[in-house]
Amino acid sequence: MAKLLDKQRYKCALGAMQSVQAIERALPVLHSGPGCAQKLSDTNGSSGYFSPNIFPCTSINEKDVVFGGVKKLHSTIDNALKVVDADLYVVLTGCIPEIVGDDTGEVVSEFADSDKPVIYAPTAGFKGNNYKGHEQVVDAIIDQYLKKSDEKEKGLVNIWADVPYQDLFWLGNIRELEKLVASLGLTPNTIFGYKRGIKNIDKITKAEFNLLVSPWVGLGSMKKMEKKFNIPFLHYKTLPIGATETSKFLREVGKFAGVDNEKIESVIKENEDYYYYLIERYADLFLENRVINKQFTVVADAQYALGITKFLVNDLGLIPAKQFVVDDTPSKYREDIKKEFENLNFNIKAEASFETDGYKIHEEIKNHDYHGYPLVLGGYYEKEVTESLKGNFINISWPVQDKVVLDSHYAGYSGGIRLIEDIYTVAVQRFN
Amino acid sequence: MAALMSLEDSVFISHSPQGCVGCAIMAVDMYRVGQAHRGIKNIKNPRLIVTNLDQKSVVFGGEKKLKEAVNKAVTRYNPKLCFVYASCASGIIGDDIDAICGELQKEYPDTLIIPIHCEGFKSKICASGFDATFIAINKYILKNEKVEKEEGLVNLFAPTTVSYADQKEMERMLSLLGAKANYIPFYSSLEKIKKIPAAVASTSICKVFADEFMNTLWEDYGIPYSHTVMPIGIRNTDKWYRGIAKVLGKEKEVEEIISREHERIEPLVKSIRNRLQGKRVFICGGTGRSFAAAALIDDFGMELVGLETPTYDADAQIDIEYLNGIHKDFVVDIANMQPFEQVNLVNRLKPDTFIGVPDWAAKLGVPTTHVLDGKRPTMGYDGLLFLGNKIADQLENPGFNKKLAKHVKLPYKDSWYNENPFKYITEGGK
Repeated sequence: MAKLLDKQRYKCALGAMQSVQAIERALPVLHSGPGCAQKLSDTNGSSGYFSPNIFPCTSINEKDVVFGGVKKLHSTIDNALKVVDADLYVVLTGCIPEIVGDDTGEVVSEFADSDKPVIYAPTAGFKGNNYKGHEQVVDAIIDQYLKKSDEKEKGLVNIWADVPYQDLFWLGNIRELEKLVASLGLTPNTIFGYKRGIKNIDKITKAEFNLLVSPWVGLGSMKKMEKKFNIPFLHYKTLPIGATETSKFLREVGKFAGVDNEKIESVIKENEDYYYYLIERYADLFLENRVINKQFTVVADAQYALGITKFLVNDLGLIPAKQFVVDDTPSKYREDIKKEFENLNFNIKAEASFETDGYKIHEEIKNHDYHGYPLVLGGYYEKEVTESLKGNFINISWPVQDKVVLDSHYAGYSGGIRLIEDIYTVAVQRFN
Repeated sequence: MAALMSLEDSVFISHSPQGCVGCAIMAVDMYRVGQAHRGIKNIKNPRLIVTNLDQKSVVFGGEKKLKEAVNKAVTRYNPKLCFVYASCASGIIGDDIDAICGELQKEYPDTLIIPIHCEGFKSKICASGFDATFIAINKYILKNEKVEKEEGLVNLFAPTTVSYADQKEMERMLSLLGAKANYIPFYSSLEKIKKIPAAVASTSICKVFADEFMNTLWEDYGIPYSHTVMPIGIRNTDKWYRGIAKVLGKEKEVEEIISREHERIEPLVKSIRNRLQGKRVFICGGTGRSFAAAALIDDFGMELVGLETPTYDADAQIDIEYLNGIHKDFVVDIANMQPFEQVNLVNRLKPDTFIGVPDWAAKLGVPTTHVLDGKRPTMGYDGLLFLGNKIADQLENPGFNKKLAKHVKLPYKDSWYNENPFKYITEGGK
């Protein structure tokens, strides 16, 4: 795990309350201190059916620290079942109960016969960040809720992507990935966002395969499902943004699913034609040197650092300066991800640095020669350093303050177009 | 953390696991907005470091991580001040942050290293954290040292949610009394903090902010203080103003100013009253603001039907008794939000408008508005005009909330709305 964090880029495992929140009608029940949910909630579209202030919480006090909080947890779950109308109750533990040794699993097991399912995920902050917490939630569903199914639905594909809310574009992205998969004649199944929820969770084990679109997040859950339910998986590492990567994505998914090659190519052609119709209309803007410089840096989780680098190099013809992966990627995945950064068109290689220390990142950005004003796509912290260099800044990764995103997305052909719009909307407002 | 985040030349170290600063963006935004309002050109981020306590630290202690963090803070930023915040985890595993900071202080004599005891499980309200902050300021910065008095200097303590517009209004009002404000701790500095004992009086903008500290300043330095109400609405603004004027011996002057101000704003208040007279209001907010809002609505002829506030003490009872005198019949819910209690009450009381944290009442179709605004004016004589017009505008077009209520449903079971809203309050908080 990362050492000290100067300008931190993620939350703790309990931040997975937002992964639960992203599952329609799933309610996080927190066994934690009184401040945790307050600190872990953002205002980025989180006032949904259950807002963080609605999440039932044991609100542990000094007495519970000494005597344990299991009784309080029992009554909190019990009363939540009575008052709150949910389909799935997910108990999440914070630091305190896991340090003082409350047996949360034992308390939750007492609700095995309740009308609605109650499961739990250990998400103590000191054990990991919210990327890990997200996986803990998916694992809890696999281990405590799902049952193996012998019946398979033809063409059904579970799609898994990066962490809801941590990823500002999670909703739009997963919908776009669904559309892409459906365009190949397959049936996508996802559990996050509008009208998915428990009914889609119930379909997970009927899928022919799992499709994971992420450099590393969720890989453990895929392996778990392969072992437990015999569901094979395709690990597609790059979030496809823009034409080059999305066409690659469609070919690989199509091939894995046994989709007819002609069908794949016709889908690609139709999408690329429209994509380049749009690009052509604005080509004069993109060709004009005056508007934007060639060198860029992305400061983001592995998903966007990799996806955006590939897009800007392969589709827009920009040159990568150093890229920073700030999600504390576990070291066992790093080599593979580095290779992806080195696999760009025209033999271009991007140097990727796995770095959680914002101070060092800013020093490197300041000391790099971008041959002009830099283009920096990153978290809100990068606004300060980019402004000091008179560069163009786009806030694409957590923390987010400069952007309101309802269902916009960067995934897919249309996502590439959105990202171009965002970059050039900033660029044309500048006088340099 | 929020109390100190805008202090100049400081580094903030959260001795905690990584989630405890999950709200960093709020701090960053607030600090940046505050700088923008104050006309600062090169807007900075707060310098925030997390020691990132992990499983190993939970077993073996986090001392090493804290030392490393302080070392990095000093070598990177060379700050005048370095605050070290305790967390639930550091508190339970027993890291002695006082001793560690004491040792580090010898190593880094040019940076003042200040531990703050704000373990989350110690209290359910952030006001306790503010108290902890001031205890630390007193112990590590002021240290009972005597400083030369500065004539007319008044400590003006303000919580983070006070906008720059409100700061200026409070400073204007104090200047009319011939006083100069030492605005603490927002956007202040080590120098300004050190000036606290030089003041001739203290006052606070919020009832639960620096109230204990002002008493400490009286005991330790003999600085008299005024602890009244939050200056929102005519009655509270008058009361707040008279409070500090009395301490400064300007009782006669303040009456003249007050009558002048009243004369100026009364016609304007009247026009607002014409728009709001008789409307029934439910209020939910922090301790200071919720009581202040309840007094404010009387200026506009509105009627209080429900009040939700997070804390209750003898001081709150004074306010409740005052409100009993002006509003005939209202429910008091002492609750730190508890939306399930609130929606049950709002659904029963069916107010015309709702003031405060709006998320749930809005979904019941009630027009909602705020008296908490970190970016715009809310306080003093001009602030109340701003608020009144805002409330009236909101009431005249409730369209957004009505549409929202038509399309979404709150997550509570229908049966809950028929239950006693206070059903789950147990004796002794069991």
